Amino acid sequence: MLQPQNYPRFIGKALLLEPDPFVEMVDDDNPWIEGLFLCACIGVLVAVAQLIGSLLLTASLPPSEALLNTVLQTLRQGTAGGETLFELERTLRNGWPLLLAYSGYDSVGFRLLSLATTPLGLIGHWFLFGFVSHLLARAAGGQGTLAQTLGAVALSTAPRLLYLFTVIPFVSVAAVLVHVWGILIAFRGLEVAHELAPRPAALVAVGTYLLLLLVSAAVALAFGALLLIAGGGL
Amino acid sequence: MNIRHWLPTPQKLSDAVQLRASGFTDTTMRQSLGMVFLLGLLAGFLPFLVNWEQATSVGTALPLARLGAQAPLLQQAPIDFIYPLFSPAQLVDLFQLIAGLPQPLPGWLAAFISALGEWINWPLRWLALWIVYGALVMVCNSVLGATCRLQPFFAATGFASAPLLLLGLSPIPCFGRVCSLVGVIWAFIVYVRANEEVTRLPRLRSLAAVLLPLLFILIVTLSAIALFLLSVYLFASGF
Repeated sequence: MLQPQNYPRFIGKALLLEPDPFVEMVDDDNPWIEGLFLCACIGVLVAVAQLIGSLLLTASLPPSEALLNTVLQTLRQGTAGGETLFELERTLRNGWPLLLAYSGYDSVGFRLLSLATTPLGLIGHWFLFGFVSHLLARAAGGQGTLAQTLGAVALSTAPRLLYLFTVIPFVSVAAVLVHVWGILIAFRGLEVAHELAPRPAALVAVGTYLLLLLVSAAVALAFGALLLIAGGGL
Repeated sequence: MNIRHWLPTPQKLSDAVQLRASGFTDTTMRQSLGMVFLLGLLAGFLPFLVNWEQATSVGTALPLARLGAQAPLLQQAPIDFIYPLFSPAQLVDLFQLIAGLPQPLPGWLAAFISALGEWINWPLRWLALWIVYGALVMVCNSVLGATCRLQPFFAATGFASAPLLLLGLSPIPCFGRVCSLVGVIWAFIVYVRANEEVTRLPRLRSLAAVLLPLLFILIVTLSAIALFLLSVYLFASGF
């Protein structure tokens, strides 16, 4: 049965690498449902915080169009001319929306979309991480079930709550902090769910992360190559 | 919520910064987490006031105020590669124009919000340093034969944030830089002592475990820079 009222306690203790929340998750009647709901809750909270942060950031800075026009005007008055100027303008105009979407500046539409994509992305990441780490943990002699692994590993998304600080514009949370803290929590979760010794549990947690990182990099490279081959016509 | 659960006692803090062994025991990771966050906030308070004042005086957000303030310095900066596009005077004008663009929020509010965001970044950076660097040191500890657990390790190493409080004086000209340097060196010594105490490794091994991640970070950073420069060169030369 879902127990959202326990999530703040679970998250607090998981961040401090205490074993209790993992034990409770593993002993739950539906650990993976708890994990799924926890990830969805964290994803929605983070997306809402980022949306508010994006609105405040947009209100704190000049309109993006004015900023771009100022830069372009100076560029036109500069020493570059002809083909170079044309290429520069084109690159700047093409890259500008990407820059805005990435920074959350003047991109409320994109942030509204992320109300759906952030929880979904988080759930996808959790499921992949849980599944791969379960396979590796079993290979390392672990005893837990897939549902227990998914329940325990769901708590490794807890550091993403740091993104709630992005409700204040100009706050930046280091991704490396979120990922490393997440790996430490996953390590504790795997230790409990699979009754593994610290060293194999650590190897499984780090190994899973590196494997997923490698696969993501390969997919990104393949996509980039595809774009190059298609000449940007995709 | 009892504050004693979230912060170590002042006596423990005092013992730790004086490198006494008793300072690094009987503290929980929760207390260290609270301490790192609170000290980060305290250290960032003076820079916050300075930033807020700087941004309010221009009536814009902090990054734009900084851009405007630093524009005149650009003429002395070694950025020759940009001169085929702009003359230095045009670049200065551009930065000052951007800093002067109006924003929807009143200037004082935009200044406050942006300075507040910069302030919150202080404890977040300290948390990142504590957790990420700690994880790397723990790997080295493990390789060098230590058997301690993560929680006592993080509980003890959190005390290294206490001397970093001196970084908060960085806005003071000259004196602030000296204080920052002293703070960083002192924090490093406290970190090595905490690691030695919690892992029971000999001093040299403890020192090696703390230094090896620095080397690792240096190599990774240099490789990333080299890779970036190589990709820029490849794209610039048309692949």
